[in-house]
Amino acid sequence: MSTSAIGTVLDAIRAALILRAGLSGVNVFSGVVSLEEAGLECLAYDGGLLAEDSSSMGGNKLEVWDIDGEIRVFKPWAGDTELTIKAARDRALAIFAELETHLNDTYAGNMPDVEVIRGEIAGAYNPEGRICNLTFTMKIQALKNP
Amino acid sequence: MAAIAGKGGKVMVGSDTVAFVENWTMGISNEALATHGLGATARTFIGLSLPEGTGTVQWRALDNSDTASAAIRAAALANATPITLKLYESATKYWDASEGAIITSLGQEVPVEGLVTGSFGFTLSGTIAYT
Repeated sequence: MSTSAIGTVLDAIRAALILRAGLSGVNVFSGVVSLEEAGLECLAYDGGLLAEDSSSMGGNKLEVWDIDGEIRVFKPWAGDTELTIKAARDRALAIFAELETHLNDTYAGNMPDVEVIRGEIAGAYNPEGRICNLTFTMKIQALKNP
Repeated sequence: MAAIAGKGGKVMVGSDTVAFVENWTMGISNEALATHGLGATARTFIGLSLPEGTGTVQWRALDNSDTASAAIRAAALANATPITLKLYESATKYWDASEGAIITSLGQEVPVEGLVTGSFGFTLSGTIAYT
Protein backbone atom coordinates (compact mmCIF):
# COMPACT_ATOMS: atom_id res chain seq x y z
CA MET A 1 0.00 0.00 0.00
CA SER A 2 1.30 3.44 -0.90
CA THR A 3 2.28 5.74 1.94
CA SER A 4 -0.40 8.02 3.33
CA ALA A 5 -0.44 11.47 1.77
CA ILE A 6 -0.90 13.18 5.12
CA GLY A 7 2.79 13.78 5.82
CA THR A 8 3.47 15.27 2.40
CA VAL A 9 0.37 17.43 2.54
CA LEU A 10 1.18 18.87 5.96
CA ASP A 11 4.77 19.55 4.88
CA ALA A 12 3.57 21.31 1.74
CA ILE A 13 1.03 23.43 3.59
CA ARG A 14 3.59 24.60 6.12
CA ALA A 15 6.18 25.31 3.43
CA ALA A 16 3.68 27.48 1.55
CA LEU A 17 2.27 29.28 4.59
CA ILE A 18 5.64 30.48 5.86
CA LEU A 19 6.17 32.22 2.50
CA ARG A 20 2.93 34.16 2.57
CA ALA A 21 3.33 37.86 3.17
CA GLY A 22 0.19 37.91 5.26
CA LEU A 23 1.73 35.46 7.67
CA SER A 24 4.94 37.35 8.25
CA GLY A 25 5.88 36.96 11.89
CA VAL A 26 3.62 33.95 12.38
CA ASN A 27 5.34 30.82 13.61
CA VAL A 28 3.97 27.89 11.62
CA PHE A 29 4.49 24.31 12.72
CA SER A 30 3.09 20.99 11.60
CA GLY A 31 3.01 19.63 15.14
CA VAL A 32 2.43 20.57 18.74
CA VAL A 33 4.59 23.34 20.19
CA SER A 34 5.13 24.95 23.59
CA LEU A 35 4.01 28.48 24.38
CA GLU A 36 7.61 29.63 24.10
CA GLU A 37 7.92 28.09 20.65
CA ALA A 38 4.60 29.53 19.62
CA GLY A 39 5.68 33.09 20.32
CA LEU A 40 3.22 35.94 19.87
CA GLU A 41 1.56 34.50 16.78
CA CYS A 42 1.40 30.86 15.89
CA LEU A 43 -0.37 28.43 13.61
CA ALA A 44 0.20 24.78 14.51
CA TYR A 45 -1.40 21.42 13.97
CA ASP A 46 -2.18 19.22 16.93
CA GLY A 47 -3.12 15.79 15.67
CA GLY A 48 -5.71 14.03 13.62
CA LEU A 49 -8.13 11.22 13.09
CA LEU A 50 -8.17 8.90 10.10
CA ALA A 51 -11.21 7.32 8.51
CA GLU A 52 -10.51 4.96 5.66
CA ASP A 53 -12.59 2.76 3.45
CA SER A 54 -12.37 0.80 0.24
CA SER A 55 -12.57 3.28 -2.59
CA SER A 56 -12.60 1.11 -5.65
CA MET A 57 -11.89 -2.35 -6.94
CA GLY A 58 -8.31 -3.51 -6.86
CA GLY A 59 -7.63 -2.51 -3.27
CA ASN A 60 -7.66 1.27 -3.64
CA LYS A 61 -8.41 3.17 -0.46
CA LEU A 62 -9.88 6.57 0.26
CA GLU A 63 -8.29 8.08 3.33
CA VAL A 64 -9.99 10.97 5.09
CA TRP A 65 -8.02 12.76 7.77
CA ASP A 66 -9.52 15.24 10.19
CA ILE A 67 -6.50 17.29 11.28
CA ASP A 68 -6.92 19.60 14.26
CA GLY A 69 -4.99 22.84 14.39
CA GLU A 70 -4.79 26.01 16.39
CA ILE A 71 -4.09 29.64 15.69
CA ARG A 72 -2.86 31.43 18.77
CA VAL A 73 -2.43 35.18 18.94
CA PHE A 74 -1.21 37.19 21.90
CA LYS A 75 -1.72 40.94 21.83
CA PRO A 76 -0.14 43.07 24.56
CA TRP A 77 -2.27 45.57 26.42
CA ALA A 78 -3.22 48.37 24.05
CA GLY A 79 -4.49 50.85 26.60
CA ASP A 80 -8.09 49.74 26.26
CA THR A 81 -9.71 46.41 27.10
CA GLU A 82 -11.94 46.15 24.05
CA LEU A 83 -9.23 47.34 21.68
CA THR A 84 -6.89 44.65 22.97
CA ILE A 85 -9.53 41.93 22.70
CA LYS A 86 -10.43 43.03 19.19
CA ALA A 87 -6.81 43.23 18.07
CA ALA A 88 -6.15 39.64 19.14
CA ARG A 89 -9.35 38.32 17.55
CA ASP A 90 -8.92 40.23 14.29
CA ARG A 91 -5.36 39.02 13.86
CA ALA A 92 -6.41 35.41 14.52
CA LEU A 93 -9.15 35.72 11.91
CA ALA A 94 -6.72 37.27 9.44
CA ILE A 95 -4.33 34.33 9.89
CA PHE A 96 -7.26 31.96 9.46
CA ALA A 97 -8.18 33.71 6.21
CA GLU A 98 -4.61 33.31 4.96
CA LEU A 99 -4.82 29.58 5.64
CA GLU A 100 -8.16 29.21 3.90
CA THR A 101 -7.03 31.29 0.95
CA HIS A 102 -4.00 29.09 0.49
CA LEU A 103 -6.04 25.90 0.71
CA ASN A 104 -8.69 27.23 -1.65
CA ASP A 105 -6.15 28.36 -4.23
CA THR A 106 -3.92 25.32 -4.02
CA TYR A 107 -6.19 22.33 -3.60
CA ALA A 108 -8.62 23.19 -6.35
CA GLY A 109 -9.54 19.91 -7.92
CA ASN A 110 -6.96 17.18 -8.15
CA MET A 111 -6.53 14.89 -5.19
CA PRO A 112 -5.56 15.34 -2.43
CA ASP A 113 -8.45 17.55 -1.44
CA VAL A 114 -8.00 19.83 1.58
CA GLU A 115 -10.49 22.14 3.22
CA VAL A 116 -11.36 23.59 6.61
CA ILE A 117 -14.53 22.04 7.97
CA ARG A 118 -14.78 23.40 11.50
CA GLY A 119 -13.61 26.27 13.64
CA GLU A 120 -13.96 27.54 17.16
CA ILE A 121 -12.83 30.82 18.61
CA ALA A 122 -12.05 31.49 22.25
CA GLY A 123 -10.42 34.30 24.14
CA ALA A 124 -8.20 34.16 27.17
CA TYR A 125 -7.03 36.70 29.72
CA ASN A 126 -3.43 37.43 30.45
CA PRO A 127 -2.17 40.13 32.87
CA GLU A 128 -0.08 41.56 30.06
CA GLY A 129 -2.70 41.44 27.32
CA ARG A 130 -5.23 39.21 25.62
CA ILE A 131 -5.02 35.89 23.80
CA CYS A 132 -7.21 34.62 21.02
CA ASN A 133 -7.27 30.92 20.28
CA LEU A 134 -8.85 29.87 17.03
CA THR A 135 -9.00 26.11 16.77
CA PHE A 136 -9.97 24.48 13.51
CA THR A 137 -10.22 21.15 11.74
CA MET A 138 -8.99 20.48 8.24
CA LYS A 139 -10.33 17.60 6.20
CA ILE A 140 -7.72 16.03 3.98
CA GLN A 141 -8.84 13.42 1.46
CA ALA A 142 -6.50 11.35 -0.64
CA LEU A 143 -6.50 8.11 -2.57
CA LYS A 144 -4.10 5.31 -1.77
CA ASN A 145 -3.16 2.61 -4.21
CA PRO A 146 -2.29 -0.94 -3.23
CA MET B 1 -19.02 -22.25 -3.67
CA ALA B 2 -16.71 -19.75 -2.04
CA ALA B 3 -17.68 -16.33 -0.73
CA ILE B 4 -15.74 -13.61 -2.48
CA ALA B 5 -15.11 -9.95 -1.72
CA GLY B 6 -16.03 -7.43 -4.36
CA LYS B 7 -12.85 -5.45 -3.95
CA GLY B 8 -11.08 -8.06 -6.07
CA GLY B 9 -13.25 -7.27 -9.08
CA LYS B 10 -12.54 -5.04 -12.05
CA VAL B 11 -13.94 -3.92 -15.38
CA MET B 12 -11.94 -4.12 -18.58
CA VAL B 13 -12.52 -2.43 -21.91
CA GLY B 14 -10.42 -4.34 -24.37
CA SER B 15 -7.07 -4.73 -22.64
CA ASP B 16 -7.49 -1.61 -20.48
CA THR B 17 -8.78 -1.65 -16.94
CA VAL B 18 -11.33 0.99 -16.03
CA ALA B 19 -9.71 2.93 -13.18
CA PHE B 20 -11.27 3.27 -9.74
CA VAL B 21 -14.38 1.19 -10.30
CA GLU B 22 -16.63 1.45 -7.27
CA ASN B 23 -19.16 -1.14 -8.34
CA TRP B 24 -20.70 -2.84 -11.30
CA THR B 25 -24.03 -4.55 -11.69
CA MET B 26 -25.41 -6.86 -14.31
CA GLY B 27 -28.71 -8.62 -14.76
CA ILE B 28 -29.69 -11.27 -17.24
CA SER B 29 -33.28 -11.62 -18.27
CA ASN B 30 -35.01 -14.12 -20.47
CA GLU B 31 -38.48 -14.27 -21.86
CA ALA B 32 -40.86 -17.07 -20.96
CA LEU B 33 -43.43 -17.98 -23.62
CA ALA B 34 -46.70 -19.49 -22.49
CA THR B 35 -47.49 -22.94 -23.86
CA HIS B 36 -50.67 -23.78 -22.01
CA GLY B 37 -53.86 -23.93 -23.99
CA LEU B 38 -57.59 -24.06 -23.51
CA GLY B 39 -58.60 -26.34 -20.72
CA ALA B 40 -55.20 -26.19 -19.07
CA THR B 41 -55.19 -26.46 -15.31
CA ALA B 42 -51.82 -24.80 -14.85
CA ARG B 43 -49.66 -22.32 -16.71
CA THR B 44 -46.72 -23.80 -18.57
CA PHE B 45 -43.89 -22.01 -20.34
CA ILE B 46 -40.84 -22.49 -22.47
CA GLY B 47 -37.87 -20.16 -22.44
CA LEU B 48 -37.15 -18.04 -25.47
CA SER B 49 -33.46 -18.84 -24.97
CA LEU B 50 -32.40 -15.38 -26.07
CA PRO B 51 -31.07 -13.99 -22.79
CA GLU B 52 -30.46 -10.28 -22.51
CA GLY B 53 -27.74 -8.86 -20.28
CA THR B 54 -27.78 -5.26 -19.08
CA GLY B 55 -26.03 -3.44 -16.31
CA THR B 56 -24.16 -0.44 -15.01
CA VAL B 57 -20.61 0.43 -13.96
CA GLN B 58 -19.82 3.23 -11.52
CA TRP B 59 -16.40 4.61 -10.85
CA ARG B 60 -14.77 7.29 -8.74
CA ALA B 61 -12.14 9.93 -9.34
CA LEU B 62 -13.01 10.03 -13.00
CA ASP B 63 -10.78 12.31 -15.01
CA ASN B 64 -11.88 11.11 -18.43
CA SER B 65 -8.30 10.95 -19.63
CA ASP B 66 -7.39 7.27 -19.43
CA THR B 67 -7.77 4.94 -22.39
CA ALA B 68 -10.67 2.92 -21.02
CA SER B 69 -12.86 5.89 -20.15
CA ALA B 70 -12.05 7.47 -23.51
CA ALA B 71 -13.27 4.33 -25.26
CA ILE B 72 -16.45 4.31 -23.18
CA ARG B 73 -17.09 7.96 -23.92
CA ALA B 74 -16.51 7.48 -27.62
CA ALA B 75 -18.85 4.51 -27.69
CA ALA B 76 -21.50 6.41 -25.75
CA LEU B 77 -21.37 9.37 -28.11
CA ALA B 78 -21.27 7.34 -31.29
CA ASN B 79 -23.18 4.33 -30.00
CA ALA B 80 -22.37 2.39 -33.11
CA THR B 81 -19.62 -0.11 -32.47
CA PRO B 82 -19.83 -2.37 -29.43
CA ILE B 83 -16.86 -2.25 -27.06
CA THR B 84 -15.18 -5.34 -25.69
CA LEU B 85 -16.32 -5.40 -22.09
CA LYS B 86 -15.34 -7.86 -19.37
CA LEU B 87 -16.92 -7.69 -15.95
CA TYR B 88 -14.69 -9.37 -13.38
CA GLU B 89 -16.19 -10.51 -10.10
CA SER B 90 -12.73 -11.65 -8.97
CA ALA B 91 -9.22 -11.70 -10.36
CA THR B 92 -10.04 -14.50 -12.81
CA LYS B 93 -13.82 -14.96 -13.12
CA TYR B 94 -15.71 -12.68 -15.46
CA TRP B 95 -18.79 -12.12 -17.61
CA ASP B 96 -18.68 -11.00 -21.21
CA ALA B 97 -20.52 -11.38 -24.50
CA SER B 98 -19.33 -12.60 -27.87
CA GLU B 99 -20.06 -9.31 -29.63
CA GLY B 100 -19.20 -6.97 -26.82
CA ALA B 101 -21.44 -4.35 -25.28
CA ILE B 102 -23.40 -1.35 -26.43
CA ILE B 103 -23.05 1.70 -24.19
CA THR B 104 -26.61 2.78 -23.51
CA SER B 105 -26.00 5.58 -21.03
CA LEU B 106 -23.17 7.70 -19.67
CA GLY B 107 -23.33 9.84 -16.57
CA GLN B 108 -21.06 12.01 -14.49
CA GLU B 109 -21.49 13.64 -11.11
CA VAL B 110 -19.36 16.50 -9.81
CA PRO B 111 -20.27 17.25 -6.18
CA VAL B 112 -18.77 20.27 -4.46
CA GLU B 113 -17.93 18.04 -1.49
CA GLY B 114 -16.61 14.70 -2.57
CA LEU B 115 -15.11 12.88 -5.48
CA VAL B 116 -16.08 13.20 -9.07
CA THR B 117 -17.83 10.02 -10.16
CA GLY B 118 -18.95 8.58 -13.43
CA SER B 119 -21.17 5.76 -14.57
CA PHE B 120 -22.29 4.04 -17.72
CA GLY B 121 -24.98 1.60 -18.66
CA PHE B 122 -24.54 -1.21 -21.14
CA THR B 123 -26.36 -3.95 -22.97
CA LEU B 124 -24.43 -7.07 -23.83
CA SER B 125 -24.49 -8.17 -27.44
CA GLY B 126 -24.14 -11.74 -28.64
CA THR B 127 -23.73 -14.88 -26.60
CA ILE B 128 -23.30 -14.13 -22.92
CA ALA B 129 -20.67 -16.19 -21.16
CA TYR B 130 -19.27 -16.68 -17.68
CA THR B 131 -15.64 -17.67 -17.72
